[in-house]
Amino acid sequence: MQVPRTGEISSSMAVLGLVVQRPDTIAGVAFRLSQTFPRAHWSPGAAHSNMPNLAKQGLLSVVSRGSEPTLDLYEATANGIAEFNKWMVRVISLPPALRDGLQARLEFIDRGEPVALLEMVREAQRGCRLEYAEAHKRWKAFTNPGSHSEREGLASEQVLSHELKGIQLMDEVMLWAAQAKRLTNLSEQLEGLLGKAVPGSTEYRSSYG
Amino acid sequence: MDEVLLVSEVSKTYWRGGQPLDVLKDVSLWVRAAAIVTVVGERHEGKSTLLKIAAGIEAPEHGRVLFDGRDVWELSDSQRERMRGDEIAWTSRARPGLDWEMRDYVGLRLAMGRSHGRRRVRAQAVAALKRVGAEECAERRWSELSDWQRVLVGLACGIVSEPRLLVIDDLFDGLGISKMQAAGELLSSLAQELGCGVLMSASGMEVALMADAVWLFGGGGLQLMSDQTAGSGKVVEFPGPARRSRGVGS
Repeated sequence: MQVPRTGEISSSMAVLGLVVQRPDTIAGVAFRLSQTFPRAHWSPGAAHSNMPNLAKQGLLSVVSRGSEPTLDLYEATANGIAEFNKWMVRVISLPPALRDGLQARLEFIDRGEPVALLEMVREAQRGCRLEYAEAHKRWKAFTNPGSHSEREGLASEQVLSHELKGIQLMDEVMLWAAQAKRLTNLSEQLEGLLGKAVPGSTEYRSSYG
Repeated sequence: MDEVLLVSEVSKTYWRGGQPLDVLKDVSLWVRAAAIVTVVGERHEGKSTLLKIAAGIEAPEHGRVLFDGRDVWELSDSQRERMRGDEIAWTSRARPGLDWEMRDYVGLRLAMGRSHGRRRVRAQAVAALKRVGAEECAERRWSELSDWQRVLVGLACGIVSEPRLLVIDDLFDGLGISKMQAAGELLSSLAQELGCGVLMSASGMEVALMADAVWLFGGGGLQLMSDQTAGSGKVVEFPGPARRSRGVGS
Protein backbone atom coordinates (compact mmCIF):
# COMPACT_ATOMS: atom_id res chain seq x y z
CA MET A 1 0.00 0.00 0.00
CA GLN A 2 1.31 3.44 -0.92
CA VAL A 3 1.89 5.63 2.11
CA PRO A 4 1.54 9.39 1.61
CA ARG A 5 4.73 11.27 2.46
CA THR A 6 2.97 14.29 3.87
CA GLY A 7 2.26 12.75 7.27
CA GLU A 8 -1.43 12.89 6.50
CA ILE A 9 -3.61 9.82 6.69
CA SER A 10 -4.86 8.50 3.33
CA SER A 11 -8.46 7.39 2.94
CA SER A 12 -7.33 3.78 2.42
CA MET A 13 -5.32 3.81 5.66
CA ALA A 14 -8.26 5.36 7.52
CA VAL A 15 -10.54 2.63 6.16
CA LEU A 16 -8.02 -0.06 7.09
CA GLY A 17 -7.75 1.42 10.61
CA LEU A 18 -11.50 1.38 11.09
CA VAL A 19 -11.73 -2.27 10.05
CA VAL A 20 -8.76 -3.12 12.32
CA GLN A 21 -10.78 -1.49 15.13
CA ARG A 22 -13.64 -3.86 14.40
CA PRO A 23 -15.01 -5.91 11.47
CA ASP A 24 -17.58 -3.95 9.49
CA THR A 25 -19.46 -3.66 6.23
CA ILE A 26 -18.74 -1.11 3.49
CA ALA A 27 -21.88 0.80 4.50
CA GLY A 28 -20.82 0.74 8.15
CA VAL A 29 -17.28 1.91 7.41
CA ALA A 30 -18.58 4.68 5.12
CA PHE A 31 -20.67 5.99 8.02
CA ARG A 32 -17.85 5.66 10.58
CA LEU A 33 -15.40 7.35 8.20
CA SER A 34 -17.59 10.45 8.00
CA GLN A 35 -18.11 10.45 11.78
CA THR A 36 -14.50 9.83 12.79
CA PHE A 37 -12.84 12.17 10.29
CA PRO A 38 -15.51 14.81 9.60
CA ARG A 39 -13.01 17.38 8.26
CA ALA A 40 -10.97 15.06 6.02
CA HIS A 41 -13.11 15.79 2.93
CA TRP A 42 -12.58 12.38 1.38
CA SER A 43 -14.92 11.35 -1.40
CA PRO A 44 -18.24 9.88 -0.19
CA GLY A 45 -17.34 6.66 -2.03
CA ALA A 46 -13.99 6.24 -0.22
CA ALA A 47 -15.11 3.15 1.70
CA HIS A 48 -16.78 1.64 -1.40
CA SER A 49 -13.65 1.96 -3.50
CA ASN A 50 -11.03 1.20 -0.87
CA MET A 51 -12.43 -1.89 0.84
CA PRO A 52 -12.50 -4.19 -2.24
CA ASN A 53 -9.02 -2.88 -3.15
CA LEU A 54 -7.68 -3.58 0.33
CA ALA A 55 -9.17 -7.07 0.06
CA LYS A 56 -7.39 -7.58 -3.29
CA GLN A 57 -4.12 -6.60 -1.59
CA GLY A 58 -4.73 -9.20 1.09
CA LEU A 59 -5.13 -6.63 3.85
CA LEU A 60 -8.86 -7.26 4.37
CA SER A 61 -10.95 -10.37 3.84
CA VAL A 62 -14.66 -10.92 3.45
CA VAL A 63 -16.02 -12.83 6.45
CA SER A 64 -19.61 -13.18 5.24
CA ARG A 65 -21.56 -12.10 2.19
CA GLY A 66 -24.49 -9.72 2.61
CA SER A 67 -27.60 -9.29 0.48
CA GLU A 68 -25.64 -6.70 -1.52
CA PRO A 69 -21.92 -5.89 -1.80
CA THR A 70 -22.08 -2.93 0.59
CA LEU A 71 -23.36 -5.31 3.29
CA ASP A 72 -20.48 -7.80 2.93
CA LEU A 73 -18.72 -8.06 6.28
CA TYR A 74 -14.96 -7.44 6.17
CA GLU A 75 -12.26 -8.02 8.73
CA ALA A 76 -8.56 -7.15 8.75
CA THR A 77 -6.14 -9.96 7.90
CA ALA A 78 -2.90 -10.50 9.80
CA ASN A 79 -1.12 -8.65 6.96
CA GLY A 80 -3.63 -5.81 7.23
CA ILE A 81 -3.07 -5.47 10.96
CA ALA A 82 0.71 -5.56 10.43
CA GLU A 83 0.47 -2.91 7.68
CA PHE A 84 -1.64 -0.69 9.93
CA ASN A 85 0.71 -1.12 12.91
CA LYS A 86 3.65 -0.22 10.64
CA TRP A 87 1.85 2.97 9.63
CA MET A 88 1.14 3.86 13.25
CA VAL A 89 4.89 3.87 13.90
CA ARG A 90 5.97 5.33 10.56
CA VAL A 91 3.75 8.37 10.67
CA ILE A 92 5.19 9.60 13.95
CA SER A 93 8.76 9.05 12.81
CA LEU A 94 8.36 11.09 9.60
CA PRO A 95 8.46 14.87 9.65
CA PRO A 96 5.47 16.07 7.62
CA ALA A 97 6.21 17.42 4.16
CA LEU A 98 5.28 21.07 3.71
CA ARG A 99 3.13 21.50 0.61
CA ASP A 100 1.16 24.50 1.70
CA GLY A 101 -0.72 26.27 -1.07
CA LEU A 102 -0.37 29.74 0.45
CA GLN A 103 3.37 29.29 0.93
CA ALA A 104 3.66 28.31 -2.73
CA ARG A 105 1.60 31.31 -3.86
CA LEU A 106 3.84 33.63 -1.85
CA GLU A 107 6.81 32.06 -3.61
CA PHE A 108 5.24 32.64 -7.04
CA ILE A 109 3.67 36.00 -6.22
CA ASP A 110 5.56 37.74 -9.06
CA ARG A 111 3.36 35.66 -11.41
CA GLY A 112 0.17 36.49 -9.56
CA GLU A 113 -1.82 39.30 -8.01
CA PRO A 114 -1.07 40.18 -4.37
CA VAL A 115 -4.54 41.66 -3.83
CA ALA A 116 -6.10 38.38 -4.95
CA LEU A 117 -3.75 36.54 -2.61
CA LEU A 118 -4.87 38.75 0.26
CA GLU A 119 -8.51 37.96 -0.57
CA MET A 120 -7.62 34.27 -0.61
CA VAL A 121 -6.02 34.56 2.82
CA ARG A 122 -9.08 36.38 4.17
CA GLU A 123 -11.37 33.71 2.78
CA ALA A 124 -9.21 31.00 4.35
CA GLN A 125 -9.35 32.97 7.61
CA ARG A 126 -13.15 32.96 7.56
CA GLY A 127 -13.19 29.22 6.87
CA CYS A 128 -10.72 28.61 9.66
CA ARG A 129 -12.73 30.59 12.15
CA LEU A 130 -15.79 28.46 11.37
CA GLU A 131 -13.78 25.27 11.79
CA TYR A 132 -12.32 26.59 15.05
CA ALA A 133 -15.81 27.36 16.35
CA GLU A 134 -17.00 23.85 15.46
CA ALA A 135 -13.97 22.20 17.08
CA HIS A 136 -14.36 24.45 20.14
CA LYS A 137 -18.03 23.45 20.36
CA ARG A 138 -17.10 19.74 20.33
CA TRP A 139 -14.46 20.38 23.01
CA LYS A 140 -16.91 22.30 25.21
CA ALA A 141 -19.47 19.51 24.86
CA PHE A 142 -16.79 17.04 25.93
CA THR A 143 -15.76 19.08 28.97
CA ASN A 144 -19.20 20.13 30.19
CA PRO A 145 -20.32 18.92 33.62
CA GLY A 146 -22.67 16.33 32.06
CA SER A 147 -19.70 14.76 30.32
CA HIS A 148 -17.85 14.54 33.66
CA SER A 149 -20.65 12.57 35.26
CA GLU A 150 -20.79 10.38 32.17
CA ARG A 151 -17.08 9.72 32.66
CA GLU A 152 -17.62 8.69 36.25
CA GLY A 153 -19.92 5.91 35.02
CA LEU A 154 -17.30 4.45 32.67
CA ALA A 155 -15.59 1.16 33.30
CA SER A 156 -11.88 1.58 34.03
CA GLU A 157 -10.84 0.22 30.61
CA GLN A 158 -13.07 2.81 28.92
CA VAL A 159 -11.60 5.73 30.85
CA LEU A 160 -8.36 5.66 28.84
CA SER A 161 -10.13 5.88 25.48
CA HIS A 162 -12.37 8.64 26.88
CA GLU A 163 -9.31 10.60 27.99
CA LEU A 164 -7.64 10.02 24.61
CA LYS A 165 -10.74 11.35 22.90
CA GLY A 166 -10.39 14.50 25.02
CA ILE A 167 -6.76 14.89 23.95
CA GLN A 168 -7.74 14.47 20.30
CA LEU A 169 -10.52 17.07 20.59
CA MET A 170 -8.22 19.53 22.33
CA ASP A 171 -5.55 18.98 19.70
CA GLU A 172 -8.12 19.67 16.97
CA VAL A 173 -9.06 23.00 18.61
CA MET A 174 -5.39 23.94 18.87
CA LEU A 175 -4.72 22.97 15.24
CA TRP A 176 -7.46 25.32 14.02
CA ALA A 177 -6.35 27.99 16.48
CA ALA A 178 -2.79 27.83 15.16
CA GLN A 179 -4.03 27.99 11.58
CA ALA A 180 -6.36 30.90 12.34
CA LYS A 181 -3.55 32.77 14.11
CA ARG A 182 -1.20 32.13 11.22
CA LEU A 183 -3.73 33.44 8.68
CA THR A 184 -4.48 36.48 10.83
CA ASN A 185 -0.77 37.31 10.95
CA LEU A 186 -0.39 36.69 7.23
CA SER A 187 -3.34 38.88 6.33
CA GLU A 188 -2.14 41.62 8.68
CA GLN A 189 1.30 41.61 7.06
CA LEU A 190 -0.11 41.59 3.53
CA GLU A 191 -2.52 44.40 4.38
CA GLY A 192 0.34 46.42 5.85
CA LEU A 193 2.47 45.86 2.77
CA LEU A 194 -0.32 46.58 0.29
CA GLY A 195 -1.30 49.67 2.24
CA LYS A 196 2.16 51.10 1.54
CA ALA A 197 1.88 50.56 -2.20
CA VAL A 198 -0.65 51.60 -4.83
CA PRO A 199 -2.61 48.46 -5.75
CA GLY A 200 -2.44 47.52 -9.42
CA SER A 201 0.30 49.97 -10.38
CA THR A 202 3.67 48.97 -11.82
CA GLU A 203 5.38 50.63 -8.85
CA TYR A 204 3.40 48.31 -6.62
CA ARG A 205 4.60 45.26 -8.54
CA SER A 206 8.16 46.42 -8.55
CA SER A 207 8.09 46.82 -4.81
CA TYR A 208 8.00 43.05 -4.65
CA GLY A 209 10.70 42.49 -7.23
CA MET B 1 -30.85 41.08 29.01
CA ASP B 2 -28.45 38.14 29.46
CA GLU B 3 -25.37 40.26 28.87
CA VAL B 4 -23.63 41.39 32.03
CA LEU B 5 -21.26 43.49 29.96
CA LEU B 6 -21.59 45.13 26.57
CA VAL B 7 -18.61 46.91 25.08
CA SER B 8 -19.70 48.85 22.04
CA GLU B 9 -17.42 50.41 19.41
CA VAL B 10 -14.78 51.42 21.89
CA SER B 11 -11.66 53.27 20.71
CA LYS B 12 -8.53 54.28 22.53
CA THR B 13 -5.42 56.12 21.40
CA TYR B 14 -2.22 56.57 23.35
CA TRP B 15 0.39 59.17 22.56
CA ARG B 16 3.92 57.85 22.32
CA GLY B 17 6.75 60.25 21.52
CA GLY B 18 4.25 62.81 20.25
CA GLN B 19 2.74 60.27 17.84
CA PRO B 20 -0.77 58.83 18.15
CA LEU B 21 -0.96 55.08 18.63
CA ASP B 22 -4.39 53.60 17.99
CA VAL B 23 -4.59 50.77 20.49
CA LEU B 24 -8.28 50.02 20.07
CA LYS B 25 -10.49 51.02 17.18
CA ASP B 26 -14.26 50.42 17.26
CA VAL B 27 -13.95 47.29 19.34
CA SER B 28 -17.14 45.55 20.50
CA LEU B 29 -17.75 42.45 22.57
CA TRP B 30 -20.15 41.06 25.12
CA VAL B 31 -20.03 38.90 28.23
CA ARG B 32 -23.03 36.87 29.36
CA ALA B 33 -23.78 35.86 32.94
CA ALA B 34 -21.88 32.75 34.08
CA ALA B 35 -19.90 32.66 30.83
CA ILE B 36 -16.14 32.87 30.36
CA VAL B 37 -14.97 35.11 27.55
CA THR B 38 -11.33 35.15 26.47
CA VAL B 39 -9.62 37.85 24.44
CA VAL B 40 -6.44 36.50 22.85
CA GLY B 41 -3.71 38.70 21.44
CA GLU B 42 -0.01 39.41 21.35
CA ARG B 43 1.62 41.83 23.77
CA HIS B 44 0.77 45.47 23.13
CA GLU B 45 -2.24 44.65 20.96
CA GLY B 46 -4.55 46.31 23.46
CA LYS B 47 -5.85 43.41 25.55
CA SER B 48 -5.15 44.98 28.91
CA THR B 49 -6.41 48.37 27.74
CA LEU B 50 -9.66 46.77 26.61
CA LEU B 51 -10.02 44.97 29.93
CA LYS B 52 -9.31 48.14 31.91
CA ILE B 53 -11.94 50.02 29.91
CA ALA B 54 -14.43 47.19 30.46
CA ALA B 55 -13.69 47.17 34.19
CA GLY B 56 -14.18 50.91 34.52
CA ILE B 57 -10.52 51.55 35.29
CA GLU B 58 -9.54 53.43 32.14
CA ALA B 59 -11.78 55.67 30.06
CA PRO B 60 -12.30 55.09 26.34
CA GLU B 61 -12.21 58.03 23.93
CA HIS B 62 -15.19 56.75 22.00
CA GLY B 63 -17.77 54.08 22.48
CA ARG B 64 -19.77 52.79 25.39
CA VAL B 65 -19.41 50.22 28.14
CA LEU B 66 -22.68 48.94 29.61
CA PHE B 67 -22.53 46.93 32.81
CA ASP B 68 -25.92 45.44 33.71
CA GLY B 69 -27.46 48.06 31.43
CA ARG B 70 -25.68 51.00 33.08
CA ASP B 71 -23.18 53.05 31.12
CA VAL B 72 -20.01 52.72 33.20
CA TRP B 73 -18.51 55.90 31.80
CA GLU B 74 -21.64 57.98 32.35
CA LEU B 75 -21.49 57.33 36.09
CA SER B 76 -19.86 59.73 38.52
CA ASP B 77 -16.39 58.80 39.74
CA SER B 78 -17.73 57.74 43.13
CA GLN B 79 -20.51 55.63 41.57
CA ARG B 80 -18.00 53.96 39.29
CA GLU B 81 -15.65 53.43 42.22
CA ARG B 82 -18.44 51.72 44.14
CA MET B 83 -19.33 49.59 41.12
CA ARG B 84 -15.70 48.48 40.85
CA GLY B 85 -15.61 47.60 44.52
CA ASP B 86 -18.93 45.78 44.73
CA GLU B 87 -19.82 44.38 41.34
CA ILE B 88 -16.76 44.32 39.11
CA ALA B 89 -13.55 42.65 40.25
CA TRP B 90 -10.16 42.97 38.57
CA THR B 91 -7.39 40.48 39.09
CA SER B 92 -4.03 39.62 37.55
CA ARG B 93 -0.82 37.78 38.42
CA ALA B 94 0.99 41.02 39.14
CA ARG B 95 3.09 40.93 42.27
CA PRO B 96 1.32 42.78 45.08
CA GLY B 97 3.09 45.92 46.24
CA LEU B 98 2.53 44.98 49.86
CA ASP B 99 4.36 42.16 51.59
CA TRP B 100 1.29 40.92 53.40
CA GLU B 101 -0.05 37.54 54.31
CA MET B 102 -2.42 36.33 51.61
CA ARG B 103 -5.46 36.41 53.92
CA ASP B 104 -4.93 40.18 54.22
CA TYR B 105 -3.99 40.68 50.56
CA VAL B 106 -7.05 38.78 49.30
CA GLY B 107 -9.26 40.70 51.74
CA LEU B 108 -7.94 44.07 50.62
CA ARG B 109 -10.82 44.67 48.23
CA LEU B 110 -13.31 44.13 51.05
CA ALA B 111 -11.45 46.32 53.47
CA MET B 112 -11.03 49.31 51.17
CA GLY B 113 -13.49 52.10 51.84
CA ARG B 114 -15.75 49.99 53.99
CA SER B 115 -16.39 49.50 57.61
CA HIS B 116 -15.82 45.73 57.63
CA GLY B 117 -13.83 44.65 60.67
CA ARG B 118 -10.47 42.97 60.18
CA ARG B 119 -11.69 39.67 61.57
CA ARG B 120 -14.63 39.59 59.17
CA VAL B 121 -12.47 40.54 56.20
CA ARG B 122 -9.96 37.83 57.05
CA ALA B 123 -12.71 35.25 57.44
CA GLN B 124 -14.10 36.08 54.01
CA ALA B 125 -10.63 36.09 52.47
CA VAL B 126 -9.87 32.67 53.96
CA ALA B 127 -13.23 31.41 52.68
CA ALA B 128 -12.34 32.64 49.18
CA LEU B 129 -8.92 30.98 49.41
CA LYS B 130 -10.60 27.79 50.54
CA ARG B 131 -13.09 27.97 47.68
CA VAL B 132 -10.27 28.00 45.13
CA GLY B 133 -8.35 25.27 46.95
CA ALA B 134 -5.59 27.52 48.33
CA GLU B 135 -6.43 27.51 52.00
CA GLU B 136 -2.83 26.66 52.87
CA CYS B 137 -1.71 30.01 51.40
CA ALA B 138 -3.67 32.11 53.91
CA GLU B 139 -0.75 32.82 56.20
CA ARG B 140 1.95 32.84 53.54
CA ARG B 141 3.43 35.78 51.71
CA TRP B 142 3.71 36.21 47.94
CA SER B 143 7.39 35.20 47.83
CA GLU B 144 6.51 31.89 49.51
CA LEU B 145 3.98 30.86 46.86
CA SER B 146 4.43 28.65 43.79
CA ASP B 147 3.27 29.91 40.38
CA TRP B 148 0.14 27.79 40.64
CA GLN B 149 -0.63 29.10 44.12
CA ARG B 150 -0.27 32.65 42.81
CA VAL B 151 -2.87 31.85 40.17
CA LEU B 152 -5.21 30.50 42.84
CA VAL B 153 -4.63 33.55 45.04
CA GLY B 154 -5.39 35.74 42.01
CA LEU B 155 -8.69 33.91 41.60
CA ALA B 156 -9.46 34.26 45.29
CA CYS B 157 -8.86 38.03 45.02
CA GLY B 158 -11.32 38.05 42.13
CA ILE B 159 -14.15 36.22 43.83
CA VAL B 160 -13.84 37.46 47.40
CA SER B 161 -16.42 40.20 46.83
CA GLU B 162 -18.69 37.85 44.82
CA PRO B 163 -18.74 40.15 41.79
CA ARG B 164 -21.15 40.13 38.84
CA LEU B 165 -18.22 40.58 36.48
CA LEU B 166 -14.74 39.19 36.99
CA VAL B 167 -12.02 40.70 34.80
CA ILE B 168 -8.80 38.67 34.67
CA ASP B 169 -5.67 40.03 33.03
CA ASP B 170 -3.06 37.47 31.91
CA LEU B 171 -3.45 35.23 34.93
CA PHE B 172 -3.23 31.89 33.14
CA ASP B 173 -0.55 32.35 30.49
CA GLY B 174 2.32 29.86 30.56
CA LEU B 175 0.67 27.45 32.96
CA GLY B 176 0.97 24.34 30.81
CA ILE B 177 -1.95 22.39 29.50
CA SER B 178 -2.71 20.25 32.60
CA LYS B 179 -2.79 23.18 35.00
CA MET B 180 -4.73 25.14 32.40
CA GLN B 181 -7.42 22.47 32.39
CA ALA B 182 -7.56 22.48 36.17
CA ALA B 183 -7.81 26.28 36.15
CA GLY B 184 -10.53 26.11 33.50
CA GLU B 185 -12.63 23.67 35.52
CA LEU B 186 -12.22 25.79 38.64
CA LEU B 187 -13.03 29.05 36.89
CA SER B 188 -16.02 27.53 35.18
CA SER B 189 -17.45 26.25 38.46
CA LEU B 190 -16.85 29.64 40.11
CA ALA B 191 -18.60 31.46 37.27
CA GLN B 192 -21.57 29.08 37.50
CA GLU B 193 -21.74 29.25 41.27
CA LEU B 194 -21.56 33.04 41.45
CA GLY B 195 -23.46 33.60 38.21
CA CYS B 196 -20.80 36.09 37.23
CA GLY B 197 -19.49 36.80 33.77
CA VAL B 198 -15.75 36.42 33.28
CA LEU B 199 -13.72 38.49 30.84
CA MET B 200 -10.08 37.51 30.59
CA SER B 201 -7.06 38.15 28.42
CA ALA B 202 -4.42 35.72 27.25
CA SER B 203 -1.46 35.64 24.91
CA GLY B 204 -1.87 31.99 23.95
CA MET B 205 -4.81 30.18 22.42
CA GLU B 206 -4.41 27.37 24.98
CA VAL B 207 -6.02 29.62 27.56
CA ALA B 208 -9.02 29.98 25.28
CA LEU B 209 -9.76 26.26 25.72
CA MET B 210 -11.44 27.06 29.03
CA ALA B 211 -13.56 29.84 27.52
CA ASP B 212 -17.16 29.76 26.35
CA ALA B 213 -16.47 32.53 23.85
CA VAL B 214 -13.17 33.41 22.18
CA TRP B 215 -12.11 36.69 20.57
CA LEU B 216 -8.85 37.13 18.71
CA PHE B 217 -6.96 40.37 18.19
CA GLY B 218 -5.50 40.79 14.72
CA GLY B 219 -5.63 42.89 11.61
CA GLY B 220 -6.28 45.95 13.77
CA GLY B 221 -9.52 44.57 15.16
CA LEU B 222 -11.14 41.94 17.28
CA GLN B 223 -12.61 38.85 15.61
CA LEU B 224 -15.13 36.54 17.20
CA MET B 225 -13.68 33.04 16.87
CA SER B 226 -16.30 31.09 18.76
CA ASP B 227 -19.31 31.72 20.98
CA GLN B 228 -20.61 28.69 22.84
CA THR B 229 -22.44 30.65 25.52
CA ALA B 230 -26.01 29.77 26.43
CA GLY B 231 -27.48 32.66 24.47
CA SER B 232 -25.15 32.38 21.48
CA GLY B 233 -28.04 32.05 19.03
CA LYS B 234 -29.45 35.40 20.11
CA VAL B 235 -28.59 38.64 18.41
CA VAL B 236 -26.79 40.96 20.81
CA GLU B 237 -28.40 44.38 20.85
CA PHE B 238 -25.74 47.02 21.06
CA PRO B 239 -26.55 50.42 22.49
CA GLY B 240 -26.65 53.50 20.29
CA PRO B 241 -23.53 55.54 19.65
CA ALA B 242 -21.73 57.15 22.54
CA ARG B 243 -23.35 60.33 23.63
CA ARG B 244 -20.01 62.01 23.95
CA SER B 245 -16.42 61.59 22.98
CA ARG B 246 -13.74 61.77 25.56
CA GLY B 247 -10.44 63.52 25.22
CA VAL B 248 -7.19 61.64 25.54
CA GLY B 249 -6.35 60.94 29.14
CA SER B 250 -9.70 62.16 30.46
